[in-house]
Amino acid sequence: MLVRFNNVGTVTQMPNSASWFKRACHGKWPALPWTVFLCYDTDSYSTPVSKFQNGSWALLRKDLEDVAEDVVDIAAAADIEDVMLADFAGVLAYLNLDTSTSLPSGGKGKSKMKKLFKMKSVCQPYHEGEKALPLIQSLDMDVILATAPVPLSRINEVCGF
Amino acid sequence: MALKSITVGGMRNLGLTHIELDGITAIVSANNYGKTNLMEALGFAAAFITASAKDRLAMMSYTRYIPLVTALQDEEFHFEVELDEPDLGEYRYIKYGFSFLWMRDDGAGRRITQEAIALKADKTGKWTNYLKRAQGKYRKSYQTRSFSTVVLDDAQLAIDVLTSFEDIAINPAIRKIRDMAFVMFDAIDAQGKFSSMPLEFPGEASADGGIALNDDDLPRALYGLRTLEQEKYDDFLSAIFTLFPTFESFIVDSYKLQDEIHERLLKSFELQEGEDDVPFRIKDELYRITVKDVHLNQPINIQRMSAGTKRIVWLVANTILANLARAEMVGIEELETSIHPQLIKSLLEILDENKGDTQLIISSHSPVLIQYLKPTQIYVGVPNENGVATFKRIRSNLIEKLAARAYDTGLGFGEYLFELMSSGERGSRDLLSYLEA
Repeated sequence: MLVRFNNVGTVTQMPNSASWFKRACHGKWPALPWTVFLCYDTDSYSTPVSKFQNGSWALLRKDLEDVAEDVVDIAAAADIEDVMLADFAGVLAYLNLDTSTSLPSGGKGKSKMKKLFKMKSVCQPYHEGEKALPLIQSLDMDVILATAPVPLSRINEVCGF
Repeated sequence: MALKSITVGGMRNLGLTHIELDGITAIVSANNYGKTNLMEALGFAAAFITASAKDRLAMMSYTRYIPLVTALQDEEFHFEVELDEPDLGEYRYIKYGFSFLWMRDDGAGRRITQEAIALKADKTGKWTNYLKRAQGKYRKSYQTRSFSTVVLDDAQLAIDVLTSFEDIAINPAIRKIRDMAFVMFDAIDAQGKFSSMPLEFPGEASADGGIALNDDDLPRALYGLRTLEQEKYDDFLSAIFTLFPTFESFIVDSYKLQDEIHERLLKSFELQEGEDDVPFRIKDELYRITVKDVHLNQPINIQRMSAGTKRIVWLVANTILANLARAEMVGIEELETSIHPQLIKSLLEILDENKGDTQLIISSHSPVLIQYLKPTQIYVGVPNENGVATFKRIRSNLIEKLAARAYDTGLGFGEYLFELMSSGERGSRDLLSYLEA
C-alpha cells in the first residue's frame, strides 16, 4: 500500500492540491487505484478567520473525482482539536490538570484546547500543527477511534484493515 | 455597545461609502486610491462629534481635508453610524448622522447642514426620527408625539445640547453617541512606542498609574494592565506566547531613574532668578519590557527586537486595551506591514478573540491577509475614471462564482481579487461586474 499526504496548509493550496495529486500521485503511479481521503472540518469556512471559502472542498472533490478511484470524506462539523479532545482524560493528564476539570464551553475544539492550556499556564499556550505532536502522541488512539466526532473508522473500512 | 455600520464621505477624494461591520473588516485597493482617506475620515468624524463648537469651525476649514477632486468639489462631509446598545431597551438601535459644508473661497460654508437621530426597539422595526434639525425641533420620547423647539447655531450639534435638557427619555441614547470611541492605529512603524520618556509635558494626559489606549509609552500601558486588569493581562501574555513560541519570558516592570541621572536632570533645569517654571516634570517612575528568547543567553529590552516583533506586540496590546476601554472601532493601517505571512492567520485569530465588541477595520495590500476573511468582510476600491474613492463588497450572489473562477485560475480567493485589481482595464471591468451597486 502506498500512502501520500498533502497538507492544505497555505492559502493557495486548495486550488493546487488537485494538481499535486494528478502530478505526484496519479501522474507517477497511473495504474494504481487511488483512494483519496479528504479530512476537513465541514464548518471550516464559518469561523471568523479561515482560509477556506464555502464550497472550497466541493470544488476540490470534483477535480479529484476525474482521476481518483474513490474520494472519501473524513469530515464533520469538528476541528482536529475536537478529535484530540475525544480522549479528554488523556489531554488532562498531559496538561497535569485535575481529573475533575470540566471541558471548557464555547467555541470549537481549538478554542477549548486553548482554554485548557491556559489553565495550566498562560506562558505555555496551545500551538497547533507540529508543536501539538507531543500532546497527540500521549493520547489513546483507540479511545479516539471509538469516540471521535469524525468517521475515522471509514479509513479502516476502505483500506480493509 | 456594538457598532453595526458606518457611512462616510466628502473628504479629500472619498465618495460616500457604506460599510457593514462584522468583527474584522478589510478595505483593499491599489496604492494611492484612498484607503487612508477612509480611515482618516472616520477618525475625523469621531473627533468632530466631541469637539467644541469653536474647534468644529476650525475643522470645517481644514484645507488638507477639503475635497479637491473635481467630481467631489461641492460635496458636503457626511457621516452616519448605526449602533446596537441592548441596555437601552426601546431605544436599543441607534442611527445617528450629520453633514456639514466645508469652508468655501467666498467665506460661505463652515456650517452643519444636516443632523439626524433615529431610534428603534427591534432590529426589523421601523426607525423613528427624533430630530428635525432644519426646523429646530426635537422629540423627547417615543411616547411623546409632539416636537419641542431647540435652537442650534451653525457649529452646534443637537447632541451637544439635548443632554442638558431634563426630561428627555432619549438622552441615554444620545450620551452613547457622544461617548463613541474610534481609535486609529495608523503607525506603520511602532518602534517609537516602546520608550519610556523621563519627561512629561503639560497637556499630555498622565497615564501613570492607569491604562491609556494608544499610549506612546506602551510599557507604561502594559504595566497599568498588569497592575489593574490581571485577567486581561493574562490574555495578552497568552497571545504573545502563542505568536512567539520561542519566548521564555515577557516581563513588564517599572523602575526608578537612577538617583544620579535624576539629580543631573534636575540640575540641568535648575531655575535662575527671574526664570519661569520649566514646562515639564521629571517622572519618578519609568517602564520597560524585557524578553527572554530561548536562543538568547539573557533577557533583553524589547526595544532591541525587530520592527515586526514590536509591531505585533503593539497591535495585540492595543486591541486588548481598546476592548477594555469599550472602543466601538479600531482602525489599523496595513496590518501586514513587517509581519511574515505565516503569522498573519494566528495574528488575525488573536485579534478576533481579544477585540470583544470592538470592530476592527483594516486597510491592506495583502492577498494573504484577505484570504483569511469572508468575502462579506472585504470592501474593494471601486475602479473609476474620476479619481473618487468608494469601497464596495462582492455581491453575495456572485461570491461562489468568483471563488470558482479563482479556483480555476489556481489562485486563492484573495490572490484572485488582487489579480483583478492589478490587471489594468480588463481586470477593472471584471472586478466591477462582481461588486455591489
